[in-house]
Order: sequence, then structure tokens, then C-alpha cells
Amino acid sequence: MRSETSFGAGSAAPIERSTRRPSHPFPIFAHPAGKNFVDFDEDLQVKDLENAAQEGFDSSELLKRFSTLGMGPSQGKHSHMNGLRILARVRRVRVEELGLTTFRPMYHPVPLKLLAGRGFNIERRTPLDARHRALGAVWMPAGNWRRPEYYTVAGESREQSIEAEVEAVRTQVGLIDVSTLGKIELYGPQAGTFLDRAYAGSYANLKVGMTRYGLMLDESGVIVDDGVIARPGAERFYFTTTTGGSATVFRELLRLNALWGLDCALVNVTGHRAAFNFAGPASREILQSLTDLDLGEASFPYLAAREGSIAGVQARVLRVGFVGELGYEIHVPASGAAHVWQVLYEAGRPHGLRPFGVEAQRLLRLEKGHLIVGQDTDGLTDPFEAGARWAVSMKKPFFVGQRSLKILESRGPRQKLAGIEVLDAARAPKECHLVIDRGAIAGRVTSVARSRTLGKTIGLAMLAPPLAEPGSEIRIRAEGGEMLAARVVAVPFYDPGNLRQRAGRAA
Amino acid sequence: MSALCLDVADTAARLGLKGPRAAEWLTAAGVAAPARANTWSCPPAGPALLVARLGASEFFLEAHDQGALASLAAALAAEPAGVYPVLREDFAFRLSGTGVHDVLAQVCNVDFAGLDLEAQPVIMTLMIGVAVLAVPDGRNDARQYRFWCDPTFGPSLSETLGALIVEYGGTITGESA
Repeated sequence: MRSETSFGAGSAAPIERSTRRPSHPFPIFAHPAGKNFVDFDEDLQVKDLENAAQEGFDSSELLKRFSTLGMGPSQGKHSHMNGLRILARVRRVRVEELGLTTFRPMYHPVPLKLLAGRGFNIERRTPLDARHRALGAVWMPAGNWRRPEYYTVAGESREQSIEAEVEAVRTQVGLIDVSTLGKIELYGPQAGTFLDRAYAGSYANLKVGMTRYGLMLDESGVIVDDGVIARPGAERFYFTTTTGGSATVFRELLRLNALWGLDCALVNVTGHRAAFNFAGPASREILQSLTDLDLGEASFPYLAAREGSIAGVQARVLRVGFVGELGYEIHVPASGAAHVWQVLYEAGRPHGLRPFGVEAQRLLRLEKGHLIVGQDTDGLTDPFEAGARWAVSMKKPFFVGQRSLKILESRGPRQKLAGIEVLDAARAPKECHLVIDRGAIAGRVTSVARSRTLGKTIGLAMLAPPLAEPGSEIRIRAEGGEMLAARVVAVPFYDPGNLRQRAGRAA
Repeated sequence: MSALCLDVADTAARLGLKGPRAAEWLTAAGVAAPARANTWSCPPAGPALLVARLGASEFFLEAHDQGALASLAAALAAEPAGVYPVLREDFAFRLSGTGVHDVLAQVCNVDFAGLDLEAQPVIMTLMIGVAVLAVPDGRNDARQYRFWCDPTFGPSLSETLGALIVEYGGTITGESA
């Protein structure tokens, strides 16, 4: 094309409206500098496509895969047809003879105004953002939120700060901002029925003032989200979703509600309510001094939910145990969040309180063997594989994913999530490192961390079922091909009887 | 016409409610609710009150007098049948002045200039990817727009929008120190 200047020349002949002429026969014009870009996403020039064809990748499918033509953000909307015309010219055939690769939505071209428009990157911040900044938060992205990964303290390394935050929760008290969790209110006479259909567990029979773990599946029985479902009133539920899943889950619940036509209504209060977890052996004593709620074991037992005033702000308090200690998840309107946080912080400081970030929370929950949806599960993981059969009520007449679960249950799991401890004290694998058994891939590490509390490196791994039994020894292919030995162990790693979160007692 | 301005000052009180009997309940409480979805009304009597109907059965109320909504909020807390409270802790702001439609065209897919103000429309759309609620106000030659969005998007949205306003020669007012 560089030598044939006639290509691309316009025609003076009028074209009748009914004439089929979808586009120019050959759209590439010779450029003096010799760089004729075809695909602006992938930086592909005409010569790249010519070379691909000469290498033998001369069908539309092969050309696309070899050159990555059309695989960028615009998905070929501006480059695909041009690339085919170039290939047709190289092969001296008509475009129609080449055939098309599979087109995916959107089928129409991307308007130039969108490509030329401004790019924006909006970040969500919790109402406590300024408090975190003042406390020395080191930020990390979590979906479109920014969250404190940990809090810097003068003289401490990152690892030391995280360890100290963990230790504060295990021995005294810690405070973490969990406002990024999705938060949904559900009202109406058929609210319990709705949850029974939408989630795998049973909720119509949940007592008022109590909470229950919620596991959400898709139609194929795959775990897509989880959270805690509380019942503040007979016709009122309040529940959380994962941080990353909040918008998707709410949209799906709205769709299901429209589909089923039940007498209930959903309200998304994710951004309108803040939440923090106040956890540790000293949490009850400190919180009791700030609230009109009776936090005594009899009146506010493990897994209970109560509404009352904390530091003068109306709050919903859930006694849950994600980090494995006596703890209270406190939900308040966003406008009152900074005040309540500060009051809790100041009341806790004499007791050794430390604010803790996402990294400490990940380790604390790992010590308890609690899974994180999307990290310890993937796009194929069902509750049987994740060890979450206990959260599924198969006796219900219907719930989303139930039919698939019946099939999956009869088939048996293809993999199982198991706890592991690394036998080499000096070395540790990373998340996503593969488990190798007799030369074949037999699983992968989904979570791993060094636990100072337990004095060893622990993790969760998705394993082939024969390897997932406690006591099995597995080999993990770590960086550089180094093989690390690990043993499968029962979870929780820490406080297996759950005594600390249930009654605040020492394990 | 006034200069282009982003005003983020906000002292208003807000209340949200939804449910199959929400419209009926509002009427019984003496609040004239808009008859059509996605429209707003401003009852002439009492403190300045905006009532927006967000759909068949959801309403959003804003009053500049903090006490104006107190009695309604108390009545709502009694859990009337078929009426459910919607917590509104929105981030609110106002856009006005010369060039406001040029700015809106950069951040939003709705043709605000083409809106019929007589119809008292409530717009629910995306602004820079953030779900916003918008109510146009003022005369056709001096329009201003009131916006509300999820408060966790507020800081980032106002920073982004503020940079654009400044680029267009406008000012930002109402920011806390």
C-alpha cells in the first residue's frame, strides 16, 4: 500500500442512496514516516498484519490471535474491519471470502466522542477517610474504594505495624472501618420469604434480634457473595454484602424482587451507613460505658443484633466474630460516623486500642479459617467445595442455585478448600502458587500469611479432594520452582472451639 | 447571567420513604406528593420543602429548615404498614451560572439544556459514573441544578467536578476549611 497511492482515492461519481457500499474498499493510506497504525489499542501497524499473514497466520481467526488485533479496550470496533481488508489484500481475495471472527456486544462502533472524551476515575471514600489519614493510614484500593491497608507508627516497619494491630485485637481491642461492606435494608411482610429464595440459608425462621450468615449463589450453584443477615424486626431485615459485590448484589436482588413480585422493598444504604468492627477481649467493657444497650452475655449473646445509642448516635450493633474475638460490628448513619469512631478510639486508647487495617483483618480471619469470596473461591466454587455446606438449607422449597446444588452434591466436589500449614519455618509460598502432586497440578494456595499468634505460616488452599484430608502432606511450587512442603490441617487454626468470640473467654 | 459556580454548602434536612402505601401516607400527613413519577413539587405552605417522586412508590424530601421534617420522620419511625424509611445521608451540591450546560455535557449524558422546566422533571442519571439525582430550578435563561448522590462519592466527585468548573472559569463555594 505504501507504493500504491491510488488506494483510498475518492470517487466523484454520485452514489445513489440504495446502493450497497458499506465502507471504503481499502482504507489505509501511505504515511511518509511509514507507520500506518491500524489498531490504536494494541499499537498494531499494517506491517505487523502483513508479517503475521506471511508467517502463515492468514485466516481472520489466526490473524486476530497472533497479532492481538481487536483485543484492546475497543474490542476491534475501529480496527477489525480494516485489519480484514489488509489481510484480504495480502491474500488477494475479497473480504467476504475471509469471514469474520466472533463479534461480541456492543455490536455497533464506538463513537469517536467517547474515545475523545475526558477520562474520569472516581474513588469512594468512607466517612472516616480524614480520621484514617490523621492516624497514618497507608491506603490500598478495594474495588473503587480506598481503605487503610495498615496504620504507620513511627519506628515500626510495615510488618511490625500489622503484627501490632493483630496483637491488639487478640489481646486488648482493635477498631476497623468496615463501611465499604454493602449494606441493604429489606422491609415488608414477605421479606423473609424473599431472603429464603435469594440466599442459600433460611431466614424466614430467623428470630428477631438475631443474625445469620448469608451465602448467595448463582443459578449454577457457584458462590457469588456472602454477608451477615440481621433481623431487627418481624418485617425488617438488614444485611451486609462483600465490598466488591455490593452494587451487583443489590442490582440482582432488585431484579429478583421484580421477577418474584413479593410484598417487600429493598433499600441500598451502603454509602449512607458507616460501619466499624470493635473487637477484642476488652471491647465489651469499653463499649458498655458508651451505650444504653445492655451488653451482658444474657441480653446480648453471640450472633445477636440490637439497636441503641452509642455516644449519642442511634446505632445497629451486630455481635459477630469475623476476626475471631469478642466483637461488635457497629452500624451508624454516615453523618454520625466520625463522632462515634472518635469516641470509641479515645475510650479504647487507655486499654491499648489500635486501629487496624485490611492486612491485619485478613490475617485475623485467616487464623479463624474464614473464607473471602473471590479470593478463596473462584468462578466455579460451590458451597460443598468451600466447606460451606452448613450455610445451605437444601430442605427449602426453592432458592437460587438449589437445582444445580442437587446435581453437584450427587457428583461430589472436584476440589475442596482446606487449611494448610507450611512446614518450612523460613520460607513461605504466595497466594496462587500451585500445589503439585505426582507431576500434575492438584490445587492452589488461595490465602497465606505468617501468623505470629500461632508461630507458623498458615493458609487456605483449594485442593484435589484426596489431598484435602487433615494430615495430608502436600508440595507447593513456590517462586523459582522451589518446592515447599505443607500439611493439611483442620480449621479454625485459632481458637477451634470459638470460645473467644462466643463468650469472650480465652481459648 | 451569574458566573459559573459549584456550591457544595449543605445544611438541608432530608427524608426518604418508599413502599406500596408511601404516596397515600404522605398525603395523609399533609404533604402534597407529585402525582407523576420522576417529577417534583414544592408545596407553597410551610417551610420550603421539595418533594421528589423517584418512581411509582418512592419519595425524597428536602427542607432547608432542619425541623421541617422532624414530625414526618417521627411518624415514619412508628413503622406504618406499607411505608418504609429510606436513610438519606446524601452529598448535595448545586451547579449554576454561565456555561453550566457546557460543564454538564462533559460529565453527563443527559441534555439538561433541553429539559422542559414546566414539567418539573426529576433526573436520575450518571455523572462521571456516579448515580445522581438532579432537579433543575430557576428560569430558562438562568438555570441552576440541585444534585444529590451517595455521600461516599461526594469528595471525589466534587474534586473532579471542581477541577472542571475552574477550567471553565467558574468558582467553588461552600467548602469547609
